[in-house]
Amino acid sequence: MFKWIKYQSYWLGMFLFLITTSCKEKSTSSLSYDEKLFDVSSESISTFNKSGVQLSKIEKKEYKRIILLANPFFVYFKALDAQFNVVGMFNKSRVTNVPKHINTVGEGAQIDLERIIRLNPDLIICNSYQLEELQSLEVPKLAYDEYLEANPIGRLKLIKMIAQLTNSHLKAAEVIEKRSALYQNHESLNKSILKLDNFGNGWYQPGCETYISKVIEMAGAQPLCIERSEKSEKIAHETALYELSKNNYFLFMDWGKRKRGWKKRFNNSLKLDSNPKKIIYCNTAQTNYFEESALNSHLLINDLNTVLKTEKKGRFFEIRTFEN
Amino acid sequence: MKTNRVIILVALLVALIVLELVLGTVDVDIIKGILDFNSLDGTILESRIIRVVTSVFVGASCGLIGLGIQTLFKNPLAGPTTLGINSGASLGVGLFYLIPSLSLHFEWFGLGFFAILGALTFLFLLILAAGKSLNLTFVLIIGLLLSYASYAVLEVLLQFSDSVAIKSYVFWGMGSFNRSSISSVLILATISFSGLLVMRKYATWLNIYSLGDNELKLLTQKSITFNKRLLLVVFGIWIGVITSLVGPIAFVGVVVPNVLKILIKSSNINTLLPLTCLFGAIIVLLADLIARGAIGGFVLPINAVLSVLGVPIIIYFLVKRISGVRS
Repeated sequence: MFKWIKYQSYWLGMFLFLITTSCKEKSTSSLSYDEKLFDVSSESISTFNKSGVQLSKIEKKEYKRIILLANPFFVYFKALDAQFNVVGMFNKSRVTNVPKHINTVGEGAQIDLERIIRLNPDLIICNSYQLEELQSLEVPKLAYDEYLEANPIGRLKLIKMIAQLTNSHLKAAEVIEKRSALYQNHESLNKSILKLDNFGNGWYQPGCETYISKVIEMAGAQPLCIERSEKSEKIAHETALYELSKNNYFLFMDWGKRKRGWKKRFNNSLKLDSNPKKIIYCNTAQTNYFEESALNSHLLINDLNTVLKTEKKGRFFEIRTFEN
Repeated sequence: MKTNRVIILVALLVALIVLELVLGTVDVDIIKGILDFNSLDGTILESRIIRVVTSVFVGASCGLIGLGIQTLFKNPLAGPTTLGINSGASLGVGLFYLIPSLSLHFEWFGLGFFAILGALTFLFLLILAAGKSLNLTFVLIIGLLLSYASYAVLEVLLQFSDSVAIKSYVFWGMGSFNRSSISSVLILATISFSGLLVMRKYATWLNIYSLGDNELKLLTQKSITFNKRLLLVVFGIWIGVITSLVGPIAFVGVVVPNVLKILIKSSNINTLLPLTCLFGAIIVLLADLIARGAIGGFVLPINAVLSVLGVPIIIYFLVKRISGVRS
C-alpha cells in the first residue's frame, strides 16, 4: 500500500512539476518592450523572446533581398521607403497594397521552400515557430516571437530594428519622433470595455499587458483584463457569463471580409443566449486595423475615444446593437 | 504474376520520382542544376532530391511498420498509431515546445531527442505493463490508454501555453518534409534498412504466427515471447525516429498493407515485403507531389493530403471486397 501511494505521489509530483513550470511567471526586466526583444551591436543584430532566450543572430549590414514570413513587418518597410528590399512575402494576399515586384512564398500555414530558394534571398524574417521548417536553408534568418502583443509604443519602436537591416536609421528616428508625439493618454471616460473570444474550446480574455488592453486604456476607457498578463488567457465558462452579464461595452473584433452578416458571425463566434446590449464593433479586415496598429496606433486610440464620447461611427470602431 | 506486379509498382515509382524532380511551384532547368549544384537550379534540385528520398523511406517504413504491427496484433486496423508510440513522440515534442523551462535549458538536445525519448518511454511502459506473458490484447489496450493520457497532458499544457508555443506544436503535428536534410535522410536510410532486415529475417516466423493457435503450438513459448518483444521494440524505435524527423505520418501504415492484401489476395509476409515498400513509397511520393504544390500550385500539409488520398482508397477496396463476398 505504502509503495503504491509512493508511486502515485511520484507521478502526481511529476505532473504538478510540469504544470507549474509551464505556468511559471516569466521574468520581467526593467527594459522596455522593444529593448527586450532585439539588440543591435556594432557587428550583429540579435532577437530574443519574452523570456530573454536568443532566437536569432545575424550580421549587421544592409540586406537587399529580404523574404518576409512574418508579414506584419511589411508596414515598417513601407514607412522606411524600403519596400524594394523585400522580394518575397508569406500570405501576401492578406496584406493590402503590396507592390507587384514582391512574390508570394506560400499561403495559409505552409511555406513554399522552392519559391524561397528561387528568389535567392539574403535574409529571411520569420516567426520563431517557423525556424524548424527553414533549417535546411543556408540563409540568415531573423526570427521573432509574435510581436503583435507589444504595447502601442513598443510596436512603433520596432521600426528601429528594420532600419538596421535597410540602412535607414535617420528615417526611422524621424518616424518615431513624429508619430510618438501623436500618442496620448485620453482622460478617463468612466467606461469599461470587455473583450472576450470564444475559440470553440473555451473563453479567452486578454491580459492587461496586451496591445488591445493598452489601446483601450489610452483611449480613456477601462479594459476588463487579466492582471500582469501579456497574452489572452483561458477563463472559466461561468466567469465569462458573469463578465458578460455586467452592463459593459463589449468589443467585437470581426475578421469577416464581407460587410454584411456581422450578426451571424457574432453569434457563430460567441454562441450566446442573450447578446450584450452595447457592442463596440471593429472590422479588422475592412479597416486596415492590423497595418495601422503597427505605426499609427494613435489613429485607433483617438478613434475609440471619439466613438465612446460621441457614440458616432468612427473609422475603425462604431457602436452597434442587434436592433440597428 | 508476382513479377508483373513488382514491375508495375517500380514503373509507377520511377514515374513519380521523375515527376517529383521535374514538377514544382517554380520552374527548374534540370540539366543546369545537375551541371552546377551551387546554382539556384542546383539548390532547388537538391531540395527536391532530398524530398524524394525522404518520401521513399518514410512511405516504405510506414507501410512496413503497419504490416508488421497488423500481423503481430492480428488486427487489420492496427498501425503505427495503435501502439501509442506516436503519441509518446508527440508528448515528447509537446513537452519541449510547451514547457518554457524545458526548451530553455535543454534546447541543445533538439526536438528529435525529445521525440525519440517520448517514443522510447512509452515503449518501455508498454512492455513493462504487458508483463512476462506479453499479452498483445493487453498491449493494445495499454497503448490506447497511453495515447489518451498523452492527449490529456498535452491538452492541459496547451491551455497554459502562449500562441508561439501552440503554433510550433500544431505545425509540427501537421507533418512536413521541409525539415529534411542530408543528415536526416542518412538517419532515415539507416533505420529503414535495419527495420527491413529485421522484418525480412522474421517474415517466416510472422507467417506462422499469423496462421492460428494450432500452428503456434509448433513454436516454443519462449521464442514467441522473445520475438514479440523484439519486434515491438524494433517497431517502436522505428516509429519514434520517423516521427521525430518528419512529424506524425497518418494513414500510410493502415492503408498500404490492407490494400495490397486485397489486391494480391495473400497475407504472405515474404510476398508483401517488397510490394509494401514500393506501394508505401508511391503513396507518400504522390502525397508529397500534391502537398508541395507541384500539382495545383497550393502548398498543403502532407497529413491532410495523405488522409484525403487514403480514405477513398481504403473505402473503395473495402466496398469492392464486400461486394465480391456477396456475389
